[in-house]
Amino acid sequence: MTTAAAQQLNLEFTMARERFALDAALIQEITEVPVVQRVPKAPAVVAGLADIRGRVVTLIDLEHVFGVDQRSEGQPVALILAPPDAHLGLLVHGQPQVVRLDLSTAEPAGGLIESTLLASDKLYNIVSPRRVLAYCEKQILDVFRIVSGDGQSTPSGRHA
Amino acid sequence: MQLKLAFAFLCVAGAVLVSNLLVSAFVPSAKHPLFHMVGLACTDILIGLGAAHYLSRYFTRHIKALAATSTIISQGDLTQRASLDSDDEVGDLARAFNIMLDNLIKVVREVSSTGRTIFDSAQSLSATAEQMNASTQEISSTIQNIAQGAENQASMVNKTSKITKALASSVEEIARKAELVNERATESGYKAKQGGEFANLAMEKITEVAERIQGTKDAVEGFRARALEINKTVDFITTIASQTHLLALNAAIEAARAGEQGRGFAVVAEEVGKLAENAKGFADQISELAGRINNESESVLNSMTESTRAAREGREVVQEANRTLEEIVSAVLTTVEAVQEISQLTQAQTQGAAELVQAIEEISKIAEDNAAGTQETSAATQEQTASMQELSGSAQALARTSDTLKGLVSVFRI
Repeated sequence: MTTAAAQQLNLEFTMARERFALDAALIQEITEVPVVQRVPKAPAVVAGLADIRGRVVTLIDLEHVFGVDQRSEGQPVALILAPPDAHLGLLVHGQPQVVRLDLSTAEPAGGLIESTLLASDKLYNIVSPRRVLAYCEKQILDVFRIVSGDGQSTPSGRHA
Repeated sequence: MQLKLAFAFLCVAGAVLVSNLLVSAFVPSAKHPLFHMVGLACTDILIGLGAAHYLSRYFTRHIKALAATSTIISQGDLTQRASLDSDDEVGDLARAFNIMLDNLIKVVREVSSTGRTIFDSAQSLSATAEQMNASTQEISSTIQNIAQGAENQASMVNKTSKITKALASSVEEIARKAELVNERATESGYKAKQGGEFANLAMEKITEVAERIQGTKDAVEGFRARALEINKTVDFITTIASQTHLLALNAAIEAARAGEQGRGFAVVAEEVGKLAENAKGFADQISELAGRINNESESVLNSMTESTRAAREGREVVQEANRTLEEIVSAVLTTVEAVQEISQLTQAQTQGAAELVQAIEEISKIAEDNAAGTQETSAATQEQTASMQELSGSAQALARTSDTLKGLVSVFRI
């Protein structure tokens, strides 16, 4: 029972043949995004904007965030984050799965990865949404800074 | 003559008596017996000598004339005649002598004329013999040429005979070969006809195969259309499965957020997700199978199109083959006719060649006979030439003899 209690639901997905996992409690919903509206002058990590049941959600391209060279084909799905970040979604390729992981044996890692876990002979990279969002924010700020530095007239840049 | 001699004896005896009386008168025998004796003897001798002289003169006068005439005649002059002025034995002799001369003249004339005639004849005979000799020599050389020619002819005919025999055997060989060709051509014609029938059969079969292929092609087309329909259906199922999976994921997330209370719901959600995933897996399998069916149908269709084309080409080829076979049949028929004609001709030729061989053998025999005959003739002609030469020699000898005769006779003047 202790192991069962220690286990928590995670969403598992693959990227560039590597296995990633994300705490399911941090996700509000998983949805398909048939139409993605690209944002002009936005950094590459921002895939675009999508209309999810009447709400505008900014989609973050995880493949760009993790610097994957080989872009995946096909229709991605968006993992909409739980409030307060419900206006953000993470685009992942391939079908995500539900997996129960015991994170007590996970080893902490640096960068965008919170920790790594070896379970059932599989290595999971546990993604930290906080760090990912911070990285994206930095990217976005950099871009807008460059834009405002060039033009000196973008109000949004000053505001950001 | 006897009378003359008696008279002369009487004259001599009277002279002797007279002389003896005179001597006895002038010279007495008593006184001078010796002188008397000597005187008598002397007168008698003188008278005797005188009488002898006279008598001899008297008898030899005519004989001398005759002898003189004879001497002239003996020199060839037959115109002289003995004088006939005495009727004694000498006169008879002269007459006989004259008659003999006449006869001799006749003989000489006859001999002279005959000699001339002989000379002329001998001359002409000699000339004729010469001519004949020349002609005979010509004939001889001609005959020798003919003999040579006949020998050549005989050897040529022999050669011809051999060649003709070889020809005859060749013709027989040709006849046999023609017979063989005839059989083979007939067989070929039959085979070609059979081949044509087979080709027709093959064409029918190919047409049938092409029709069958077309039918199968239609069936496969239908099959392919069904496979595409399956694909569409499977796509739909896959979509539903994906959406179900998403729903299950969301349900699981919701359950996770519900905490302990949502635990049972989470299990259900997980099961639904697994089912959706299974469904998607099966759908994928079906899709793959349908895709494979589609691909294989396509390749089958391609093969069938290829097969149809090949069958069409095959039919054309078989049609071409059939036409060719028909041409072969007609060519073979022509060949058979020609070969039969050749066969007949060669049979006739064989017979002709055999007859030719026989005829040439006869010719050969005749030519050999000819050669032999000509050689005999040549020998005979050579003999004749020799005879002619002899004849010519004889004629010349005769001419010479008659010349001699003429010379002899020309001594006489007549």
